Amino acid sequence: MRDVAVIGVGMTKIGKFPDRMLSAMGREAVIAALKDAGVPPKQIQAAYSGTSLGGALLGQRIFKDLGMSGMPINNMENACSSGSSAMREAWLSIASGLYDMVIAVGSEKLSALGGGTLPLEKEDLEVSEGMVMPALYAMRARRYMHEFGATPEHLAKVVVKSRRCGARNPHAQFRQETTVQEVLNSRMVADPLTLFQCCPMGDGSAAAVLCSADKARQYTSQPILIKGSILVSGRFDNSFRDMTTPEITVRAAKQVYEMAGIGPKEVSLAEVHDAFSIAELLYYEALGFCGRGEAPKLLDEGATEIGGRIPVNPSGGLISKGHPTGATGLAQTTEIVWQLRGQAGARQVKNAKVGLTHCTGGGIYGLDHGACSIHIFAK
Amino acid sequence: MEAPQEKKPVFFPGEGYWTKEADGLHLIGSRCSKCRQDFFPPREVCPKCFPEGFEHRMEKSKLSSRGKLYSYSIVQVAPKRFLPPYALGYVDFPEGVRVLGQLTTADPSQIKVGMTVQAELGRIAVDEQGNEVMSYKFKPL
Repeated sequence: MRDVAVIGVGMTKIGKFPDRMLSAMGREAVIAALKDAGVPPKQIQAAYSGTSLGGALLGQRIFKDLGMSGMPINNMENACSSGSSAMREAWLSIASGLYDMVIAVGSEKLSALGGGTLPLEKEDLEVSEGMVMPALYAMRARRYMHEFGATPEHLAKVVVKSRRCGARNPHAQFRQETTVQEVLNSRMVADPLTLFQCCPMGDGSAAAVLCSADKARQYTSQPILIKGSILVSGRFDNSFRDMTTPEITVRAAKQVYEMAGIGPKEVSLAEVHDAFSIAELLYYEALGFCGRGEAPKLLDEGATEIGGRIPVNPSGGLISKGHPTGATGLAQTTEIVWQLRGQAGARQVKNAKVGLTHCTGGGIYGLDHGACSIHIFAK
Repeated sequence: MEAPQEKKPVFFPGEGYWTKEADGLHLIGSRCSKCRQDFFPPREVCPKCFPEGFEHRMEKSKLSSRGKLYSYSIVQVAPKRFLPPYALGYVDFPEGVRVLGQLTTADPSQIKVGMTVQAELGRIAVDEQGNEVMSYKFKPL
C-alpha cells in the first residue's frame, strides 16, 4: 500500500434547504474541493459518492453536470457511515495503486423526509417492534448512568460544549449557545434524551480530493496524509452485549491505531459520531481518550473543549454542526483538514498535528451498528 | 354507505413465534446443535458456527417466560403506526438471549433497570389498514 494525501476539501453550509436539489449541494461541495485542491477536474480518475437516503445514482447526478462523466462513479450506502465509507474506498483506490487522483463526496437531504425520527429499514425485527434511533441511544444512556453514576447533567453538558463550538462554525446548523437547564428542559424524545441531545435533521454535502502522497506537493504546500483508514461492520450477537461499550468502535479504533502507528495519546483532536449526547461520552472511552466510566470526568475537566487536552468535535459535531447522514464522514474529514492546516478560524485547535474522524451508524437488529469507519490524518 | 371493513388483529412476527403456557408466554427460538447457543427469532444457521463450516443444525427451543430488564426508554416520538408514549426495553432471558420489546406500561415509576419482567401478548402498533398489531410485550413484576 502506498501513502495517500488529502489535497482539497470543501463543504456546503449544513441546514434545512428544502428548495435546493441534493445533486446541486453535491456539486457545490465538489467544486469547492476541486478549487481548494487546485486540480483540473479532468484529472480526477474516479469518484466515490456516499448517501444513505439520497436515491439511485446520486454520484452520476452530481458529476454529469460538471462534465465529469465517463469515469467510474461508485455509489456507496452504509447508513450514517455512507460518506466515511466513500472516503475509505477512495483511499483504497489510491493506496492500492489503481488510481493517482480521485474524489469522495457525501450528500444528504433529510429535510425532504419531513419531521420525526430517521426512517429505518422496515424488514428489521426491532424496527417493527418500535425501535427508533433516539431510543437505542437512550437505552445506552440509561445503562451507562446505571453502571457508572453519570447524571442527566453530564449528558446536557455534552450539548452545551457542542453548541459553544457550533457557535464558532459558520458551516454549522445550530449556532446558538445553550445552557444545561435549557437542554434538560427541552422536549423529551426518548428519556433520558431530550430534543437538544439529538442531532437535527439537516441537509448538506462535503467532498475531499485524494492524491497519491508522492504527487501531492505538485498541488499543495500543505498535503494532509491519511495515516490510517479502517472500515468494519458490526458483529451479530443476540446474547448479552455490553451496550455501554460500542464493540464496533472499539474494534475499529484498535485497527486504525495499529495501522497508523499512532496511539490515542498522540491524537491532537477528534471529530466523533455524537448522533446523541451519550454517544460522545461512550466514544471518549471507546477511542481510548480515557478509561472505562471516566468519560463524565473527562468532560467535567474540560479536556475535550477546544482548548483542552484532547478537543472533541470542535466543529460542533453532529449535534450542532448537523448530521446530513451520508455527508457526515466527509464533513468530518473537511473539518480535520482545515484544523491541521490551521484554517479553522474561531474554533482552531492550537498545535493540531494529528486528527481523527470516527463515523458509525445504522440501526440494525443484533449489531452494535451497521458500519464504522475511522480515519487518522497527520500533517 | 359502505360497510366499515372488519378490523382483524395482525400478529408480529407471527403466531408461530410463541406458545402460551400456564406460567405465561414463551418465545420460540432455535438452538444450535453444535455450540448450544439459543437464538430468537428462530434462524436457519448458527451465526457462530456457520463461518466454521456446515456441520450443525438448528433445533427448536423455547425461552423462559421471564427475564431481566437490561435497559429501557420511554419513547415520545415514533413513526405513525406506533402509539407513543410507549416503553421499549431489552430483556435478558436465562437462555442467554436478549430480546427487544415494548413494555406493558409507560409509567416510569413502575420500571427499573434489572427488574424481572414477564412476556405476554399485547398491542404494539396499529397498521396502515387500521388493524391492531399484536406481539410479545413485557410486564414488570
